[in-house]
Amino acid sequence: MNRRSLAGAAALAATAGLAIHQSKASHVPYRRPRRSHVAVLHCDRYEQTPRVVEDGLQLVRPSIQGKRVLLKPNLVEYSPAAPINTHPMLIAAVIDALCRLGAASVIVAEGPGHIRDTDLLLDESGLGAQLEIFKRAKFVDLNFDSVTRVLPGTGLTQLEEIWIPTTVQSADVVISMPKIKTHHWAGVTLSLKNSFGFLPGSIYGWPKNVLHWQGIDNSIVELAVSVPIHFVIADGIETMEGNGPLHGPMRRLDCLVFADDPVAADATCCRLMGIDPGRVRHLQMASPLGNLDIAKIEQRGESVERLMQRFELLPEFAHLRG
Amino acid sequence: MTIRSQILQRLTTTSGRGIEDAALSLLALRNSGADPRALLGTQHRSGAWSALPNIEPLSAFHTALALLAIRPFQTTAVRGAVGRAFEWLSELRGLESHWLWQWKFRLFDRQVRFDPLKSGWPWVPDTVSWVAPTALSIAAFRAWRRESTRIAPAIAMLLDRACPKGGWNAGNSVVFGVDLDPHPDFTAMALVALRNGSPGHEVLLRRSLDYLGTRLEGSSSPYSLAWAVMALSAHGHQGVEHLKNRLERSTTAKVDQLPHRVLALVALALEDVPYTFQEPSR
Repeated sequence: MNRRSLAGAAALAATAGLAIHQSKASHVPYRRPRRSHVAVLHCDRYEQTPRVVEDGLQLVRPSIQGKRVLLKPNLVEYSPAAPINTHPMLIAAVIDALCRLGAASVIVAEGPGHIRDTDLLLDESGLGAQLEIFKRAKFVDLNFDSVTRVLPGTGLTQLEEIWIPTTVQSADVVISMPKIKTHHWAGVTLSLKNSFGFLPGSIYGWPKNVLHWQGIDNSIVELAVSVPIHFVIADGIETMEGNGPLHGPMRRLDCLVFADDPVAADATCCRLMGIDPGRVRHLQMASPLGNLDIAKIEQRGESVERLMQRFELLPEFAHLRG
Repeated sequence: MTIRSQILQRLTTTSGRGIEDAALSLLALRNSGADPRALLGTQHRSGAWSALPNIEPLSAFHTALALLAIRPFQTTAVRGAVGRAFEWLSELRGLESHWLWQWKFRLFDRQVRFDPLKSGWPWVPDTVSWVAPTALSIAAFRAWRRESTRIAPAIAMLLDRACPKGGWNAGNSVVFGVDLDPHPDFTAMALVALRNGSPGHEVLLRRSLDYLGTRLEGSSSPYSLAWAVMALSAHGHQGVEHLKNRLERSTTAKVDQLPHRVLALVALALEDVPYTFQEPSR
């Protein structure tokens, strides 16, 4: 080994050491509820979502009367061949249900991580047309929203400040609406990973590479602390396995997941995918924020065991298998 | 009143929010008495611009865009700002240009196919190079006729990051063995940067121009259409007029809903000869 290689190895070791130091869970504030509530409801067609959403919301009872609600779908990029985005019909069904439950306002907001032209994405994904039909919720492009400075709360990243869209900061209730997918960097992309879309691309760029360089898992947890998610409604009808979040094959799970705790929601989604949530690094790290432990999750609706499937995983994530 | 005149009137009477709004509006209004002083006033003491005044991270994309926007104005203040901005841009490199990370990308981190020896500009410091900031930085150096040793590797980086079937996305062409798709706006920015041709890459440029000419066939998004018109025009592509007509129609339908940066882009694309981020020689 020559001097250059030795210096390189030393630098890499130092970087690894820093990464380990930064990922200590003790930095994450303890916000875990005594019990969490999760409902998994069978749904095999998007046309059924109005009824199933109504049932799901009755089971987890989100407190939204008179509140400004922000829905954060997963809108990444459009491909007619792949189930990449939270389905527009599900989003429309949730808007409708929330309005009937007395929400003061409902905003759909997203800052796509790969696409600057959000209008093009809204058109091609069909979400723009759905919002136009219902006219009950406006869409805010978080990539270009005004921003508020937030001081990071965990020390997991070296970011001295995070700019969060004002629309997100001013919402009373944040509902994350992920698409259930595997993810080639994070293992899975569920409600917590969905929060990457809160960061404005106009400030951080496309993709939001700052988050990758701070460590994807560290950044996921940092954002979970900075922008608390109050409820989750996950699209588990047509999902993605293998090389997600864009290029994996479609897998039908035929369900919707409702929860009042994002960690419990993601843990349940993992179990539905045949993944042990305790082995997903960002979920381990986020465990002070919610319940990973199945004993602390009050399960409603369908049995997870009955709907559970064995998702295809990239070799890099074979160790996640439950 | 043409749609372009309506847009110019709106840009004159209202203001946008960030540096992208300000820079593109300044360019769109460059022949209508626009004054660069407001944009110059938002320059960071380092010489850079960021997305919004007085915030960090500083941004190569916005610095390059501001440089392009003040190019038509030859005042003393502009000349002073330009020197500092190019100094900052010249110092900023993608992390992949560091030997340590080159080593990591070559030995361990190989799921994303790219050559770390070919380096351009990152969006913000402490990240790797991406297509949009690299393309606009190249365009800025060219517009100001500044020589730099950074330009050749940045062009090589753009060529390296092109999608296998032509065009560009944010900057990843093949990930986990899968060919990724291009996006219209990033393709257009790269093509503006590569307007002088690239010997040996004629097929890539032709495919990328053809992609841009057809990709937006069914689209009504003024932002992507405007970028496409300017890129096709920079290369003298025959599809310009067709896309220009589409841009005019789709903008008319939604002009009241469009943000400043998009309105300004549309105004630039709808000029008699679409603007291509290159001032004529004086």
